[in-house]
Amino acid sequence: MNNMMIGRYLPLDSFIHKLDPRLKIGSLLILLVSVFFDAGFLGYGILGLFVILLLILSKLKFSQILKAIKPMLFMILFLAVFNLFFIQRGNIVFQFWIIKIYDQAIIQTLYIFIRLVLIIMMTTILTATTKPLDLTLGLEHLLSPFKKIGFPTHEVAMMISIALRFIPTLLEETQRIMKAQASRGVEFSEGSLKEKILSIVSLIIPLFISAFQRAEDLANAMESRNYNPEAERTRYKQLHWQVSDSLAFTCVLLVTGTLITLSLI
Amino acid sequence: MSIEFKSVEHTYSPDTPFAYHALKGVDLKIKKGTMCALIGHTGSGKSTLIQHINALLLPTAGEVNIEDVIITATDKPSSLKGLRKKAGLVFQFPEYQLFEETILKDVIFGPKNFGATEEEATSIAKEVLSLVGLDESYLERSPFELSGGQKRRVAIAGILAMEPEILVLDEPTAGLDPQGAKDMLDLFKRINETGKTVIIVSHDMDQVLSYCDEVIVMNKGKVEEHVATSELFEKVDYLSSLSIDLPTITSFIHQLNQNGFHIDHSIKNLNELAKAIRGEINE
Ligand SMILES: Nc1ncnc2c1ncn2[C@@H]1O[C@H](COP(=O)(O)OP(=O)(O)OP(=O)(O)O)[C@@H](O)[C@H]1O
Ligand SMILES: [Mg+2]
Repeated sequence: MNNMMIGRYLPLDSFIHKLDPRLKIGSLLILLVSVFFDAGFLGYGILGLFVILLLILSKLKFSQILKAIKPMLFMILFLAVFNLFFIQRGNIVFQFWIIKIYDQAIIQTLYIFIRLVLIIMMTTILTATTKPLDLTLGLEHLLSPFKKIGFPTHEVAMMISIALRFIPTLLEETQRIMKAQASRGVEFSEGSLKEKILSIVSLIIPLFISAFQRAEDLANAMESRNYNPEAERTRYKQLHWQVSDSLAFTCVLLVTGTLITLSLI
Repeated sequence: MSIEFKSVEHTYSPDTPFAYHALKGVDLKIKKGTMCALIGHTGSGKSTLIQHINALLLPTAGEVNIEDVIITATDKPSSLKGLRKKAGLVFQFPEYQLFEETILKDVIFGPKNFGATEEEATSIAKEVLSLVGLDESYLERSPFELSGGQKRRVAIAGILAMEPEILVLDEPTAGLDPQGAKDMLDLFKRINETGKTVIIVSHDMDQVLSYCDEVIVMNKGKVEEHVATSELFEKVDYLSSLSIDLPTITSFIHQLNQNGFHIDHSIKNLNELAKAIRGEINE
């Protein structure tokens, strides 16, 4: 829990860190979509190289990305195995008892594996290089066109930034309560099913109570300062689109363009 | 020897950009049966240190020895559970660990985890609850409808019910009313008098002076002093360099002495002080 990498901001000083959050969010969305174009292994090779380039530019270490992938590994493997056994197209390459494995299944499984790893890498790059508050600011800007049709842009952005703000607090709280209960003889990783359930209960209940308490305190603090979500507000922090942002966006579009072309031919 | 630290280091989140070196070579020996205060500036590593005593944190280097159970970076003792029963740790603001429907159930949670039967646990629970000042009428009430101070008492009872040999308390009286704080400390003193080792993290020097035999001073991740309480409060300049206040009575004696009195620094209570002053005036 101490070494959680997913969604964590890493305060480094890099080219990617300095890019406009709007650009980074937009690019992530575009790249996420292009992951799903069937551009063959060549396409994934290109996208993979591009992501590795981003990694190097953002000064993140490969080990940090691995840490982000690790908690998801179980899910990825589960999906992969599922696919391997249940896709029944193409030629059988392996047969044992009632298990048949087809060549299409192997290819699809590899695709899924590559896609998920790429998605996690790209998302981690975004969250590791962008401060949570910049992230919500960017999101609010990107969503602002929808204000015209009554979408509560500001409220949504506020909710997201509060949620992001409290993730580390809740993790810390979880750790604190786990330690307190461990001092009372709870072993979170061992024991029978009944003991496990009891140990989870001893964690969840105090966690919820303190989360509700915090929510109430925060709401009171905001209200007593007269917070009104509908009020027109100005910003201390302004976003400035720069040449480097346009340049980066062009690169993203080029990569996506290549992938689309590859998937069409 | 009940507790021994040998060149203990602790780094939080090692090998990440968030790495923080919180303990820097701590050497420490605490004899069985002492009542010991742990003081130091906020962030000096007190809470980090005490979490090594029941192996909630493992040293990143060095060795901790708790009643002959040895904890190092690589090997956890095989029975962590045994160690957790031996050394009861009460966290700062322990009231946030309550979770059961009734106070009784919450207090017997610990002993039952360590293998006590329901009846044994219940009888200990009733005993410790009355020790912390909550009578039988509280047993079946929900812990969540209590006041903050009462919740704290229940949480402390939950640790006392485990009957630990070593009792470690992280700022147990922070936020309690003066009488409540005094009751708590009197209770810890009584527990200490039955031969148990008691370690209290405290920022209140008056408490330290009147209740503790020894004081450990931490500064920036190191143990700087480990001396008898009376000896510590003679080091006026050292304490003020750490911005630690003197106990009220010691500070008063200090001021009297600066104005020509010669009163013994180690006087702990008002009666003795009054006698000493009368003695000087009558001379
Ligand atoms: N889980 C953690 N991860 C990283 N750093 C931590 C963690 N817990 C504590 N620290 C750091 O270690 C240092 C020592 O913290 P510790 O809690 O031991 O201080 P303390 O002496 O108990 O202070 P206080 O009197 O405020 O309780 C602090 O600088 C703190 O920022
Ligand atoms: Mg502390």
